[in-house]
Amino acid sequence: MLKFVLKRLLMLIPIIIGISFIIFAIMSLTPGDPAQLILGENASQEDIMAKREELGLNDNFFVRYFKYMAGVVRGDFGNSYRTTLPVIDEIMVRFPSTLMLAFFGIGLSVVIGVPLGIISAIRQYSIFDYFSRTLALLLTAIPAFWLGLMLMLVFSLNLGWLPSTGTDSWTGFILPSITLAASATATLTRMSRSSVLEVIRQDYVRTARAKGASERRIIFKHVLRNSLLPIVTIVGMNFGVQMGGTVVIESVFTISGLGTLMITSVRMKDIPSVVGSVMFVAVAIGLANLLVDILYAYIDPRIKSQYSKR
Amino acid sequence: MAKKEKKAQVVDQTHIKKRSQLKSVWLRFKKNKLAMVGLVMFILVVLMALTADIFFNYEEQALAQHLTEKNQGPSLEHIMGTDQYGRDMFVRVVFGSRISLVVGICTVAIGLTIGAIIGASAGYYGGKIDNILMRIMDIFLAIPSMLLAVVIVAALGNGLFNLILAMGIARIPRFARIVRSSIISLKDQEFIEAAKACGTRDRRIILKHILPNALGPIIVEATLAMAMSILTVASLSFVGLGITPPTPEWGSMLSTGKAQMRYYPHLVIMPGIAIVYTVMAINLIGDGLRDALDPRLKN
Repeated sequence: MLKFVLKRLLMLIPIIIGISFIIFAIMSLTPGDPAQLILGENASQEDIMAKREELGLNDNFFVRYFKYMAGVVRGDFGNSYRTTLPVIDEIMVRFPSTLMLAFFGIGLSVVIGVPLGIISAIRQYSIFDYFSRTLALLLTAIPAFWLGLMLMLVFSLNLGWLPSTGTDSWTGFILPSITLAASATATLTRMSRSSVLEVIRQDYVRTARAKGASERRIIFKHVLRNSLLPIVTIVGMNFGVQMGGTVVIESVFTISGLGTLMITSVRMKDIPSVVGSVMFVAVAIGLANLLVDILYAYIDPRIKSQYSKR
Repeated sequence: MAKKEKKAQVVDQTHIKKRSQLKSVWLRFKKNKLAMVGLVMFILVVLMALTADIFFNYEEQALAQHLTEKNQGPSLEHIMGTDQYGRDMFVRVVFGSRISLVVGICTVAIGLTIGAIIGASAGYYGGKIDNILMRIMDIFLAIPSMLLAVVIVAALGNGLFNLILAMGIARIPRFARIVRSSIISLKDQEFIEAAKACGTRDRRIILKHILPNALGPIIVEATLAMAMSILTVASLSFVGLGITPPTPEWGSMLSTGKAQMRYYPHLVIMPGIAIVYTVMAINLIGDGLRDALDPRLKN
């Protein structure tokens, strides 16, 4: 098991290198000069040249990428072109908000989506089933940022119950988390429903019924345990989507997280900030996926034995 | 009489035997009420986008400002009200549908074409090519597609074409994966072997023999990707990285309306409803197609 975890952690390294290279290349090799953007339209040619020299933009692309990565290995993510401060400091300040938001979003979607899907499968074609399927249908079609605006309109601007911006207190997280959880809840509801429906028709469930096991026991012991695997997979996949979704939701609720940092940096061609933030997000997603794979082992003993074999 | 009809049907069936697969999918799709509702909803949007010019004047009604009538709520004259520059919201929503549809269709076209080429070569040739191509795709997949789109749009600059390109590129890896896995499951089948034995070229085998058989999951993914693209373009425009005002686009309309939504909520409600309506229509079609194409659900 430990060997498996270590191997997976090592596999993250090439992915991180690949991601940083792609983002670095996209940012560097497209038109638009960071020095020009920092100094503004009216800057003189000499100033721009000096700034370019200062930022090291005159080097060959591969040299710049290599220099940058050499710094990253030592924990130095470079200085922001925009603020000239170390990128890592800014990321460390902002990362917790984004991560919290993503976790709250995931948590909420699991707490709501999974039971909704399970009950809807057990009581297939009941009113509850129709209700939860309609809800899921609606939630997948609603753009997250619009849902955020609507919630803000009702709960902050009209009713005044919750703050509409910022995350100074925990109440600031409520609306953004609900917003973020919406589409994940929809996919989870649908996935749990179809997963449970699949298991409920299996022979061993019929056998359990024939044995006279109580309905409760059948559902909890036989059905749920076996239908959990795809559900956990979706939760893991959602985490990646959520990290991407925070970009928009942070700007709706003006939360200073990685998402808003990325939007501002990307406009200013602030390469170190963008590459740094994307790398952090990618590592978080990679770790979340690893966590899911470890969870597999606890859910399904067959997978556990596979891990230890390798 | 009845006999004659039956005979005609039989003749008909032999005549269209080649398309019977497609027809049976359509018959199954037709039985799904929700999917048909989605199809009708979607056709309405398409008609709206195509006929907008006949009913409205783009320059006059969607762009020109009429400050005397600004921020009016919905009324008989302006069924969705007017925006902060006095422009009719309904007209702008109608013209906005064009951008959403064009972006939706074009991004899927780009993502699907390039993704299919990559996925097909990876799946068909296997070995080293497969390994290299799919590892590159894995790296792209590790970046959330929203982030990737943000970075590419910002790098290329605003504008419709760049937006389509960015979102199309962001869609490539998923299509590549789906095409690859269908091809791998098909390439060892007997009919491919037969085609190879006849000396058919690789390109023809992939295009004529493999892809048509792998169409099901690809079509479903394409439909859902289109819905996703419409959501993404609205989100990007909303954060200022997509279509910029005054061009009527649902996301950018929401973004400009946000500042005054407390006093004039219709500014943000109307474009949002348009997005939800369109995306839901496409999702319903996608779900219907998935069920219709699923061989396990036959009959």
